[in-house]
Amino acid sequence: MTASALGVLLIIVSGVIEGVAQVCFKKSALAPQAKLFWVGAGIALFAAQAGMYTGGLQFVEVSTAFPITSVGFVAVAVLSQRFLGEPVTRARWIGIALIVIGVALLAAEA
Amino acid sequence: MSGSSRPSARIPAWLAWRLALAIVLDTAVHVLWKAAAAGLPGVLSIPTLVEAALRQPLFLAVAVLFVWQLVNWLRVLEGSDLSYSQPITSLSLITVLAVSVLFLGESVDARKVLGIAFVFAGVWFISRTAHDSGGACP
Repeated sequence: MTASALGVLLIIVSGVIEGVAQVCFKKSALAPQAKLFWVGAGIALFAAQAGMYTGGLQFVEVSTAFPITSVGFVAVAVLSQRFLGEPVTRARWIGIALIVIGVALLAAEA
Repeated sequence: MSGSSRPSARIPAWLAWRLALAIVLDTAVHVLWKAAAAGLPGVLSIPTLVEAALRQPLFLAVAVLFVWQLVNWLRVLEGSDLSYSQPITSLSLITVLAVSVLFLGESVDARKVLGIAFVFAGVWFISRTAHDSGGACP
């Protein structure tokens, strides 16, 4: 595996972890009695994400790395629908797909 | 969903302001993070990286902005759908790219400009969808 590919892999995994962390943060707003637990879980996941993202930044440019984390948008949409009961409509999916295509164009050199 | 009002396509002023702040903070965090990471030694040992990061003042600035970003984001989520608000923050992809080009000397070409157009289109689509954002600042 090349250094560039390793950097891209680290940043993709960090994007998925960020998606899970976002669901924890939303859970903290929905369940005030367990707010600290969910915020703590979200922060812990963000810390793990931060380590991976920092490692990845040593191998790729920020203008390439940051767009790749948008894999988290897809994770958030799926998890929001599954675990938060949010209405992820067709229009919202189209928007997410357009963002992911935009991200692919922005990161194509990686 | 926050469950406090009927879903609507309108964005309340408080939510627009907080989303704009989230985008600005996201941009600052990522650009400073890149500048800080550039000063780290090229090794993958976690203890070594943590020790080097603690000596790097830029990481302190990143940490402060992170806390501000977290507080602001929790307020956003208290009054809006996660699957609505989070994709809108992808506009920071564009602001990070702009700052990277202007201040970090990174390059931009026609393909990246097309990518920016797709991101804008995606955010526009999502901003037109009905969402549960309460109405008043939570």
